[in-house]
Amino acid sequence: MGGILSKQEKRMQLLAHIVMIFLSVLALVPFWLLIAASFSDSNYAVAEGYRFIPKVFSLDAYQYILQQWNQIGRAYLVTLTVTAVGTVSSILIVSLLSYGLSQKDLPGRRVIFGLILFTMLFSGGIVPQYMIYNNYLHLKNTIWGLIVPNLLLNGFTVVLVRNYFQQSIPPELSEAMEIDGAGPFYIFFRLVMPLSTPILATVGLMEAVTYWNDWNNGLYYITDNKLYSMQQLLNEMNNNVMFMSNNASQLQGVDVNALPTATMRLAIAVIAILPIICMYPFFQKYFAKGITMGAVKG
Amino acid sequence: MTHTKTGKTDPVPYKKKIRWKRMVPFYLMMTPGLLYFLINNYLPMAGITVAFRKVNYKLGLFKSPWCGFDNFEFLFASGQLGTMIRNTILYNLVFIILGTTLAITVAILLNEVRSKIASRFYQTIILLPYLMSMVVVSYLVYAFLSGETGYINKAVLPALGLKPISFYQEKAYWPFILVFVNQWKGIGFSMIIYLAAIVGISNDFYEAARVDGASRWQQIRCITLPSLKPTVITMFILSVSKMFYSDFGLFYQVPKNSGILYPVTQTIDTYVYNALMNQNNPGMSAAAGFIQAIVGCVLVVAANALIRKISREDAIF
Amino acid sequence: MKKKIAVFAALAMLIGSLAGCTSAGGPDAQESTAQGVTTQAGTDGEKTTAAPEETTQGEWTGEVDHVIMTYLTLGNTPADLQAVQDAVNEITAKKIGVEVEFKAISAYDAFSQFPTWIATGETVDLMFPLLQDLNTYVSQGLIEPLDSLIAENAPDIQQLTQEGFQITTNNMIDGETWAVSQVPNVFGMGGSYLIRSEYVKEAGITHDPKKIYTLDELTDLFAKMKELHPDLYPCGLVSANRTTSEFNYANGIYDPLGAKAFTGVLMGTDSTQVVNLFETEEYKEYLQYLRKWYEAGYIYPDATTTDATNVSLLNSGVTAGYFMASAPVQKIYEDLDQLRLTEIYLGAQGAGGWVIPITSKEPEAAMRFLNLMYADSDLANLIQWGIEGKHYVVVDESINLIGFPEGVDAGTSGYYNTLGLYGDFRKSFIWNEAWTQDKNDAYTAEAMANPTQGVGFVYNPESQSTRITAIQAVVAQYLPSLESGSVDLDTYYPEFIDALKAAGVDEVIADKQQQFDEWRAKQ
Repeated sequence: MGGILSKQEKRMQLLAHIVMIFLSVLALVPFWLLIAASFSDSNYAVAEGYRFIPKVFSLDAYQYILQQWNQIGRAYLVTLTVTAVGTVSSILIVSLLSYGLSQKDLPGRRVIFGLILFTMLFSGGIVPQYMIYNNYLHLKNTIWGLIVPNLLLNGFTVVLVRNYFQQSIPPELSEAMEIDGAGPFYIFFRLVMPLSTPILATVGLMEAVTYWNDWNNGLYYITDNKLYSMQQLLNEMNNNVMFMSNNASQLQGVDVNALPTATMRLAIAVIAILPIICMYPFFQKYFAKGITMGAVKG
Repeated sequence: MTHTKTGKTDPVPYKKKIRWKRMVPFYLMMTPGLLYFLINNYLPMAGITVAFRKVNYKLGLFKSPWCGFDNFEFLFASGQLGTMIRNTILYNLVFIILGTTLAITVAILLNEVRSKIASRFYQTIILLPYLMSMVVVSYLVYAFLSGETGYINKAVLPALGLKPISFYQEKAYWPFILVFVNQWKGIGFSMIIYLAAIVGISNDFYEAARVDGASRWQQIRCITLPSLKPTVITMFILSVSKMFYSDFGLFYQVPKNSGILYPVTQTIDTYVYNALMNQNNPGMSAAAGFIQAIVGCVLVVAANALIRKISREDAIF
Repeated sequence: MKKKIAVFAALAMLIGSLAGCTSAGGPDAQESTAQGVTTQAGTDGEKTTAAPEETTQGEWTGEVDHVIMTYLTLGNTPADLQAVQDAVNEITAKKIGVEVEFKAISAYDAFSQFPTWIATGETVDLMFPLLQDLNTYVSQGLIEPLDSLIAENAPDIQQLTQEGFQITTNNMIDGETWAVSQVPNVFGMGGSYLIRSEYVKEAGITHDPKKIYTLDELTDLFAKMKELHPDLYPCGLVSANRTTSEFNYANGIYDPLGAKAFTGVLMGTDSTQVVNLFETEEYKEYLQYLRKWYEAGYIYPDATTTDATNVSLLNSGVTAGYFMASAPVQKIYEDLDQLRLTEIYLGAQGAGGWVIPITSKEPEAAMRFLNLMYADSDLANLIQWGIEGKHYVVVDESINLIGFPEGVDAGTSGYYNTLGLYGDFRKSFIWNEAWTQDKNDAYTAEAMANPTQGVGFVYNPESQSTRITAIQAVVAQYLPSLESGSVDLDTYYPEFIDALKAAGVDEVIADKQQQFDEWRAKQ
């Protein structure tokens, strides 16, 4: 009996590995091309396109990054800070809110939940929001301008976390703790949070990636070069090069040769991706750990 | 105050009082989040009225004169509204159905991988495309598909003895290309949500099943899949709300805004972008957003009602 | 290194020389400033307060006002912007009682940022919405009308207008001036084909700068080039995301009357009839040439989709040339010929320039500063090129040629921003020896002598905005493919015209014609 099962499991393993390797190749090939492209000579790339092994190898793009390191290194630091602070605060706020909402006997929870869902659909546009953050809360050109607007919390994560709390945390556990005299905050930090690592890691990863890749807040709330993030820098380069080439005939005085080339932009894209990849295993730890619910129950 | 009138109803208000007191900490917990939604979403919500105003900043955004549905006209003036809506909805349907199926399959398979190192390796690699911005993706797609310099036309097709294809001039390929790019970019991420749910399933169930002699496949069918149902339903309802929206980067940057491809690539968002480019019209963009939101709202309520009918406990509100 | 410097030194062709104006630009300008203000004060009784503050020596004795001015970049804010700002203030505080604060922003971001800033009440006194639609700013009430401000504070701008530079008249909507354009090194329009000289010589053609080449001659040249170099594409014509036609660089003169060309144009310099450019015979002929070239392999096949620019394609040797304005061009490659394709003319070209937002706290000071940019060459050079010795050195004083100092290049310079939107370009140094101010002036003179019937008229499209958005979307869909020759004309072109009509192009043109006729009746 056991032999058959393990054989079956082996087959399953094999299938899983084959599919995963296939998907990995699909993901890696373009990424490899991206890296190779960032190492190719820009004139050659224009003429012949990008190749998996650059025919004319060039470090120009990375030299440019070194040359601009004052700006780029700073942007790195800004992005790292924003991502770390933003993700941690976001997880905390979202799980507190969702825990409240997951209380089945909380008066008004349906209305509140409905109102939160509503925010996912309707938005008042950038101008009123900008007015609040800029004129009243004075977030412009502060690091909070990158962290707070739009990204800190959204309905989607609230739904995910609330559902997890409702479905995967057995109410008997918190009831037992309550009888022992534990308050809601104690229960939340000691029981609920540790039991919810998979979903918190998921939401944390979502938030981290969102913060890492965001340039919209930078566009609106940061004009000070010192607070530029990586993506804002990259986005601005791309947009302005596009702007220039679309309007070249009307902007004849501009020195187009001083603009960053496509390979330079790709090189920045490469170095912008690397840290978030390195961050991923940190989140993974919590997936793998999972929750040994049975053990807790027992 | 009123409960003192009659002694008979005393137990109920008494109980309620206790419950309220017990609930105070929970409201406290919710305060930061709710405050955020108030500031970030609800206060600016007044901006929705801009869709019905002729904006004049001299008078102020909220003192600008009303103009009825004038701002909505540009959507209809194009005569392409039908195509835009069809594309937006069809792509979204494919993305939802295919996306869910693939994400669950990959999550289950990944969960099968026993080696921790391999599992982590796969997860990281599959997530890579999600971390690239659409602009970079559009460069990469172009590197493969371009007529002059593209990898497929330069290396692959000649090797197979086939004629080159001008991908950016041929409508027929793009529904497949767009769906592929969308799935390729998104799967590493959407899979994680299901993986988190799978990891959360108690091992007791599997052990019990194994004792009963259930095969691996049976375990997946009878334990894993049913446990994923709530997540699938939640994700479905949430994505339905985005039915009238589209990923601008995917539909604009990836096909390089090629005019010939518009019949299969134009969505509401790309049309609004093209029409309002260079002229910053807050009224018209608010109008387009308003329609998208209303449709999303209706669809979410409908989807939720449907789910409620089928299985009450899985409805999200 | 040397080659690099030479290339960079040769850039920015449109920047004018002082041409002996150093003395004339300085004291003279101040004199006229003082005079202008005094005269104005005399005629306008209410505004006498402005005059006494200014002494005849041009020294400002009144209060110094703080002006916030947008500073457009292409993504990189110059490291030494603060230093340049300080140097600017040293001049302007003394001369006109203004201290300026640069607010740096990239030209692309400005599209979304400027309206947001004004809408939310952020103080900005001087703003340059580069290539943004001036009509939107006016119709949404984002900016102040400038007529009285110019009359009271900007004698040099008035002077330039009188000389025939339409820096204010091109920005008139409903009888009011809303913006002041910069004076480029050359004023006027015309089309040309920019091409690497080696191929022209090889084909046995001696480039005659005065001659107007026909598209047939161009076809022959392309054919010869293709025969000699089968892998070369004689024609670049990158049209990805393009929304404006390049017809006027290739096949004739049109005047869009201060609005987008798709809202109707006057063809040639004699016409007073507003027509749909895309329906004209000339335009159709132009498309037929493009199609022919595309099919013969002269046009770069990926023109509608490539990320590369015309310039980078030309530099990498993939293509040999492209259409552009016949005005002197920056040096982007060693040897280039500019084959003229149309006459040089003066039209009511696109509006735009410096505006004063409604959130300005110091509109008068802003106007004084704006005016000085057109009058003072020291100021013009400082804003445009930075600090002498640090950011540039004079290479040839006789033609006011400058270049990078030893060991500095575009990448390492603390102040190298070639967008150049400040005042009168003819009053600042040049980086390119090939086009000196006398050549530029000759071009301008030729254009001034050949105006279209629309000069001085600007169309106000406000009542047609719904149709215009729809037309804009149609143009975005069809134009890039049509103007790269990559699609079949028999099916695609009629579809384009039908879509334009369905979007309401005829109504817009009728409206434009009516406004134009009313304006003409008043002249």
